[in-house]
Amino acid sequence: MALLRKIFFYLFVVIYLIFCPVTVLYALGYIFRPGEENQIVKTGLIYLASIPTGASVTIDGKPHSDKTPCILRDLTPGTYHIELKLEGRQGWSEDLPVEASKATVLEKIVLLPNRLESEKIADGPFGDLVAAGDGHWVVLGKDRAAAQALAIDRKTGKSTPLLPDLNAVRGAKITDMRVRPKSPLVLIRLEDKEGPRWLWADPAEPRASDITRLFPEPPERVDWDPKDRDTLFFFRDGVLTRLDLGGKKVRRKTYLHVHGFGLLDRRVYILDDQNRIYHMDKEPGSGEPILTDAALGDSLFDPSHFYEIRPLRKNLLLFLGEHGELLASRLPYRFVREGVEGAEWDADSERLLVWRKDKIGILDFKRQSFRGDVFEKGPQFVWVFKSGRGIEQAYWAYGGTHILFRDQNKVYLLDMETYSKPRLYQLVETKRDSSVSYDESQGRLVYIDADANALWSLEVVPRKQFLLLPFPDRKEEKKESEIQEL
Amino acid sequence: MSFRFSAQGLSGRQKFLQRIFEILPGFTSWFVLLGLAALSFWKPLAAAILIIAFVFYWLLRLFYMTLFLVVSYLRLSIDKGADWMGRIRELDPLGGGAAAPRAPEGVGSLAKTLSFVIHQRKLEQLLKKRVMPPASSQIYHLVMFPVFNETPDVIEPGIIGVLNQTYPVKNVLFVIAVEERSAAQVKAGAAALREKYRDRFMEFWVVEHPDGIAGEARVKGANVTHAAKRAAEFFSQKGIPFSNVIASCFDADTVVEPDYFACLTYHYMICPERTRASFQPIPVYHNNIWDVPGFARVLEMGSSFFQLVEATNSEKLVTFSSHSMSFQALVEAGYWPVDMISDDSAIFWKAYLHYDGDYRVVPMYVTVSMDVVAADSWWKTIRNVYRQKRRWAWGVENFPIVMRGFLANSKIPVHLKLMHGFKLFEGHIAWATWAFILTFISWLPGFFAGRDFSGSVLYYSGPRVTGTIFNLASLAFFTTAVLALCLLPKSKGGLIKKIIFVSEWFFVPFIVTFLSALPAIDAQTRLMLGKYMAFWVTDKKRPPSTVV
Repeated sequence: MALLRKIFFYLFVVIYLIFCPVTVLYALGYIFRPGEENQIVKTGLIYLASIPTGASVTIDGKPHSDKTPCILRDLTPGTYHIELKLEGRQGWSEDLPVEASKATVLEKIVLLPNRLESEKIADGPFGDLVAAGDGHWVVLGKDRAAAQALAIDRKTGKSTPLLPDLNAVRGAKITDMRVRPKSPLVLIRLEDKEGPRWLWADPAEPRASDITRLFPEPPERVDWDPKDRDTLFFFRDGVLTRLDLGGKKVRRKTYLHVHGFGLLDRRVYILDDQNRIYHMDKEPGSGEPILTDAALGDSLFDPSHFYEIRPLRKNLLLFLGEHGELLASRLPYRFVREGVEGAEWDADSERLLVWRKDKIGILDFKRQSFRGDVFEKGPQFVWVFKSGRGIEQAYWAYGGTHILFRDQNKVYLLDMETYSKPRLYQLVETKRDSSVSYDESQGRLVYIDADANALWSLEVVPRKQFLLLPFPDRKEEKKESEIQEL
Repeated sequence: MSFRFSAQGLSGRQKFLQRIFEILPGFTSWFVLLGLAALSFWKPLAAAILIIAFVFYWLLRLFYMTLFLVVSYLRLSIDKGADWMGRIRELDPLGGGAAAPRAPEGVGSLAKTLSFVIHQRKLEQLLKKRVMPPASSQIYHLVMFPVFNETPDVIEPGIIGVLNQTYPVKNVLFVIAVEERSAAQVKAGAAALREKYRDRFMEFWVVEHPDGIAGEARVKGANVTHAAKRAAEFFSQKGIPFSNVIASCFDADTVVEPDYFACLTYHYMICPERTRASFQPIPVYHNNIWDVPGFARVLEMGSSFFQLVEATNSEKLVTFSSHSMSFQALVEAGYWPVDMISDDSAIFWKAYLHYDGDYRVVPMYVTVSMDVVAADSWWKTIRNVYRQKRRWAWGVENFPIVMRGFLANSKIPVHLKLMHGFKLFEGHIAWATWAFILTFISWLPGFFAGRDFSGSVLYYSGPRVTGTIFNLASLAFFTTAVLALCLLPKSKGGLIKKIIFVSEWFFVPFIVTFLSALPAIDAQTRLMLGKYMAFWVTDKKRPPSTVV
C-alpha cells in the first residue's frame, strides 16, 4: 500500500507540475499553435453580449458555434470583423481589435428591431409632457389649457385630470411646468385674465394647492428638495426665500447676497456674492463653509451670473452657470465655458452627461490619477457627439453605454458600446417643441408624435433584458479614448 | 527519550517555543485567508492565478484521496470475510517455536484470496524478524469505556458488542471509568451494568476517577489514565506481562464489530513491533446515522472516509477516536495525557516521542461504530456538531508539544520529524482554510475586479477553468456518494431515503465550510490567542428503538 501511495503521489506531483503551469498559461491567454507557427502564442478574446440575447455570431465571415452572450477565445492579436444577426433585429457589425492577454468586451450591444413599433398610450392631441418622479406623466392639451391637463399613471396608463378643481382653472393656460428628479410633485404656472398663478400639484392624488400668495413677486427661480415636499425655495434679486408650504408661511429674506444655490438631502448649498460656498442644514447660520478661498472663488465664478448648484454626491458639487458654464468641485474646476443646456448624473458609473445645443459630452469623475503621473489628472471630459442642431434633452440609457437624446423634434440613440465610431440611430420623430421622457428602469421612451400628437411609448431596450449579465459592469478606458467625434 | 508531553508548567525557552507553535497554525490560517482576500482586492490578477493553481492542486488531491478511498474501501471489503480466529489459531504455535502451519485459506472468492495473500506476506515478515507473538490464550484485553454523563442505554450496546465477539472474552478486563463528579444515576447505571455483566468477563470494574488530582485537567485522558493505572496494578499482581495485554480505549457509545477483538488480536500477534504500536480501526458513525439530520450524516460520513483514506497511509497514520494499543507501550509512555482534550491522538505522539520515533499505528480494516452527535432539535444538533468538530480540531494543541518534542529529540531522524511535523501542520491549515477558499474566496478576484483585471483574458478564462475543475471534482463527489451508500447500514426508508442521502452530498461545500472549517479556525484562533478550551461532552442521543 505504501508503495502504491508513493507511485501515485509522484505521478500526481508530475501531473501537477506539468498541467498547473499549462492551465494557468491557458487562462492567461497562451496557447500552442501547431502547423506553420508551431509555437506558443499569446492570445486575447472578445466577449459579446447583445440585447436581445441569442444573436448568431460570425468572425471574419466564419460562423461561431455559440450565440450571444459568448466568448470568442484563442484569438491572436489583430483586428477581427464581427457580425451579429438576429431575426427581426437590425444587423450589427464592427471591426474589433484584439490585444494579447486582453479582453475586448462589448457587453451591451443593443440590437434594435428592424421596425420600431411604438405603443399608443393615449389619443391626443397633446401639446407637451413632463415626467413627475417615477409615478406619472403629466401631459398638456394642444392649447395648453389647464383644464385639459392630464396625469397618466405610468404603470396602469390610467389618466385623470391633473387639476381636480376644473372650475377654478377654466380658461387658464399652463405657461410653465417644473419637476425635479425623484420628486412626484409638479410646480405649475398658470396664466389667465387675472394674471399669473402658481399651483403646487401632486398628480398621484390628484391634488393641487394655489400657492400664489406665497410668492411676493414673480420669482427668477424656484426649486425644492425632493425629500422635503413642504418647502419651496424662491429666488429673486440675490435673495433666497424659504416658503413653508405646510404652515403656508414665508420666511422673508432667508439668505441674502446669493448668486447660486442648490438643494440635496435637506441641505441648502449657497454661493454668495463674495464667491464663498456654504451649506446650511436647516436654519440660516447653521451651516459650514465649503469654499472660503476668495481668490479661487473669484477665478471661478462671475458675480454677475447665477449658478445652479447640483450636489452630485457628498463632496462633489456641480455648478451650471446661467450662460451654460459648467464647473465642478474637482480639478480643473471649469469644464465647459458656455452653452451647456443640461446635465444628467449617473451615480453608478459616476459620470455626468452634458449637452449643449450642438454637442453631447461625458464628464467622468471615476477616472483617477495613476501612480507615476507627474501632473495630477482630474475628471476627463470628452465630447462624444458634435453634430446637433438643437439638442434639448438627453438621458443615459442602458447603464451608461448609450445616450438617448432629443435634437429638435427627433429622438436619437447614440450607441457608445463600440471600439470605433459611436453609432447613431434615429428612433422617432416627435411633435415640434414637445418634450420626451425616458425611463431607464423600464427602457421606455414616451413622446408625443408629430402627426396625430398622441402619446406613445417605445420600448428602446426590452425590460426583460435588464437582467444582470454574468460579468459585472465595467468600463474600458480604451473604448472611451477611442470614441470618435461624430 | 524523556519528554513531558504537556503544555502546562513550562518556563523559559520551552514556554516561549510553546507559545510560538501555538500561534503558528492560527496565524497561518488567517494569513492564508485574509492574504488571499486582500490579494483579490489589491492584485486580483495575481490572486486569480494563485486560486487557479490552488484549485488545480485541490482537484488532484481530491482525486488522489478518492483513489485511496476506493482502495481502502476494497480493502475493508476484502478483510470483512477474513477468518481472524482461524489465523489466530495458525499463529498460536509460533510462540512455541513451531513452524507456521499453512491453513487451506485463500481458496474461493477473489476477496478471500487477496486477504490470504496479504496475510501470508505479513506472516513472512513476522517469521523473518523472528519476534514471535505470545499464544492467544496468553493475550489479555483491557477494554475501557470512559463515562461522564452517559447513561446505560448509551453504554450497554458497547458491552453487548464486546460480548458478541467471535473472540472469547474470558481474558477481557472490562472497565467502565466514571468520574467522581458524574451524576449519581450515571454511577448507579454503571454499577447496574457491572452487576448484569460481571460474570461474562474475566473482570468487570467500575473505576471512579477522583476529582482534583494535582496536575490533571477535567479531561477524558485523566479518567482513563486513572483506570489504566489500576489495571496495571491488577496485571502486575496476576503476573501477566504488560506485553501480553492490549488496551482498548473506546468512546462510551462505541459498538465494535463481532470480529473486532479477533482482528485486533491477530494484528497484535502478527505485528513484529507489537509492543510499539497502536491499532487503529475505521471509525464509523452508524449507530444512529439514519436518525440525524442530513448535514450531520454527510459530515460524519466524511470523517469516516477521511479515516479510510488515512488507513492507507500507515507511515503517517495517527490514532483517532476509539482505538487499541500495546499496554506495555501505554505504561512505558506514561499513559494518556491528563491535561489535554485530544487524548486519542496525543497518546500516539507521546509514545512516538518516548520511543524516539520507533512507534507506529497499524491500520485495521474493521469498523467500530459510534453515535453521530444529535440533539432534540435541528439547531441544537448544529450547535453540538459544531462543538464536536471544534473539539476534534482542538487536536491542533498537539502541534506545539510535538514540535517541542521534535526539537528536543535528536534521535528521531530529521526526515521523519519533517514528514510528521509538516503533515500535522498542513492538515490543520487545510482543514481550516480550504473550504473557505473554495466556497468564498475563489470568487473574490472577479468580485473586486478593477479596470485592469476586468479587461484581461484571465478575467474571462478564470471562471471557465475553475468551472471545468469543479466539474471534474464532481466525479470524485459522485464516487464518494456511491461509496457512502455502500458503507451505510440499511435504512428503513429504502430507495427514497437513499436518493435523499445522495442529494445531501450536494450541500457538502456549505456543510464543510460552516461545520468543519469554521470550527477548525475557531479552535486554532483560540489556541493562537491563548484562550484554551475546556473539555465539552457532546450529547449522544439514540432513538428508543436502538436501546438494547
